Amino acid sequence: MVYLNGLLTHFLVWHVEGVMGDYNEESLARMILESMEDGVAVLDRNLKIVRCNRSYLRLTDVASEQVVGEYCYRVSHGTEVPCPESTCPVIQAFRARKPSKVMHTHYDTKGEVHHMDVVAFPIRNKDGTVSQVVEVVRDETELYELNKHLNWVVGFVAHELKGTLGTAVMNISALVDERLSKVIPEDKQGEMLLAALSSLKLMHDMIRNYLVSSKAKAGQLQFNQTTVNIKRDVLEPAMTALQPVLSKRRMNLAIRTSGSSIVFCDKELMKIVFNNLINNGAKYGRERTQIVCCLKGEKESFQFSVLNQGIGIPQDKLEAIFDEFTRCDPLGIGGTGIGLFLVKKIVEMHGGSVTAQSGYLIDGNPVTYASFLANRAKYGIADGEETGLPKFARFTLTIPQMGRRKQRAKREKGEDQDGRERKTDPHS
Amino acid sequence: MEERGKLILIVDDDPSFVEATSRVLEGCGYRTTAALSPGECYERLESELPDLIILDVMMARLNSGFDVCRKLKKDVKTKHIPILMLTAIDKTYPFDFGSEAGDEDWLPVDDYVDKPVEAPVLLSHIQRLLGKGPAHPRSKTE
Repeated sequence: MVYLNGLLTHFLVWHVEGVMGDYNEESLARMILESMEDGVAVLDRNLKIVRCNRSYLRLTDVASEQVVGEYCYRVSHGTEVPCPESTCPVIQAFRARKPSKVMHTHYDTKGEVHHMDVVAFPIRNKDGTVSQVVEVVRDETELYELNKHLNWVVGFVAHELKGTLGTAVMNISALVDERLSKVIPEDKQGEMLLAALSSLKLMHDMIRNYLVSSKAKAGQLQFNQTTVNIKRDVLEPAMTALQPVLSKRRMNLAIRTSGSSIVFCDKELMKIVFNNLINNGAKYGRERTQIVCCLKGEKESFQFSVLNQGIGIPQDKLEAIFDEFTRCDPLGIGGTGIGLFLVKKIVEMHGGSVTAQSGYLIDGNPVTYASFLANRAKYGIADGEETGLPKFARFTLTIPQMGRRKQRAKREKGEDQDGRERKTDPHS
Repeated sequence: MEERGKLILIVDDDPSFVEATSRVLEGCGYRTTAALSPGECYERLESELPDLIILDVMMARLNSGFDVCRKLKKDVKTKHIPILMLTAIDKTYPFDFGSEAGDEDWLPVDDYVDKPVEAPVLLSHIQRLLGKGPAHPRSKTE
C-alpha cells in the first residue's frame, strides 16, 4: 500500500509543480505504471480486467489480448468461478470499500509455484461508491522461500542444541540423584561427568559453528594464521572428542603421517575443519570399520584426508555436498548440513581447496566410481554386482604453504597468507 | 525392581544421548540396545523384541519419530510394545493418542516426556510403563 500511494503522490507533485513537460496526465500515469515491477490491473465490479500493465501480463504469464476484458480469476487461477471472498482481496475491497491484502499461491504454465502478495485498492467515485478496484501483484516467492528456509534453520539449530543439552542433563541429573548415584558404579560416574563436560563443549562448538558460518557468509570471518603442530593441536584433540562415538559404534581411527605436521594456518578455524570431517567419517561410516586419516606435510603444501567405509556419496552430489544445508543422507542419519560448507569456506580462506571422492572398496583399495566404470573388466565384477561392494567416501583438503621467511615477513607486516591485513582472533 | 533385566530399545540420532541414557538404565538393572535411525530401529527389532522403546520424535527428518511409532503400532509383532516418546510436543496440541485412530493426528505412543529429560524423571516414566501398561493415553477431546 505504501509503494503505490507514494507513487501517486509523486505524480501529483509533478502535476502541481508543472514538471510534466511534454507529457499529459494519462501518458505520464501510463509511463509510471509500465515502469513498475509490480503487476497492476484495474478490475470492474464483474471482476473483469479493464486495463493492466506489462508486469501484470508477465506475472500472469498470459498474452495481452487474453487479459483485458477477461475475468481476473480465469487469468490468474485458470478457474471458471471467482475465488472465495476470504481469499480474494478484490472482492473484499469492493465489499468493505477499503484496501485489502492477501498472499496467494499461483502456478505458472510450467507448473512452478509462485507466492504472490496481492493488494487491492478501491477507486471511489464522487458519491462514495466503488465501481473499480486496482489490484497490485508482487512476486514474493524469493522472500517466502528465504523465510521458510530461515524457519527451517532455526528449528534445526534448536533441535541440535537441545539434543546436546539432553546428554548433559541426563548425566548430571543421574549423578546428583541420591538413589541413582548409589546404583551407578563409581567408575561409570567419572565417565558420566566427562561425558557431560564433553557434550557442553560440543554445544559450544556447535554454537560457534553456526556463528562462524553466519560470519563467513557475511564476509566478516577474521583470520589469524600462526605456525601450528596440526597433528598434536588439532587432529589428536578431535580424535579424543570423538572417542565415545567411535567406541559405541565399534569403529577405530587410524592416522598415517608423512612429512612435517607443522602448518601455517588459523588453528581455531582448522579445528572446525578437522572436527567436521572426522565426525562425518564416524557418522556416515559403518559400524566396526576403520576411519583412515592421512596427514602429508610438504614444503609447498599440506594435505589432509579422511576416508571412511559406509554409505558413500552419489556421483552427482560430490560437488553439491559442500553447499550449505545440503546433505547426502539416504539413511536419515541426520546433521545440520553446514559442516562441509564451513570446511570449504575455511579451506578456501587459507588459499586451498577441498574435494570429495566416493566409490567402491575393492580388496580394501578405494576405487572411484569413474575409475570403476572405466575398468570394470579389470576387476572382474559383472554388471549389477557392484551393489554388493562396500563403499567409501574420502574428503581431501590441500592448503598451500609458504616458506618460513615469507611467513615471518607477513607476520611482521601484519598480513595473512593472502596479503590481507591480519586481525586479532575473534573466536572467544 | 521387577523390571530388572528387561530390554529397552533407545531410538535417537544423538549417540552421546544414547550412551548417557544406556549408562543410567543399565546402572538400574535394565538391558539396553540402541538405534541411531529409523532404519537401524527396524533392524534391531528383527533380532530381538524389546520390552519398551524410547523414541526420539525428531531425528533426521522433522517428526520422523511419528512415522516410526505409527508403523510399529500397525505391525502385529510390535504393536504390544510400549513406546515412550522423547519430544518437544506442545501439550496443548490435540494429538490423538487413541490406539485405533489412524488419522494424521494419530500419535500412538503410550507416554511422552520432554527433552532434555532428567534421569529420575525418565526412570519413573519407564517404571510406570513396564509396571502398569500405558500411562496416560489422551483423546482428541481432552
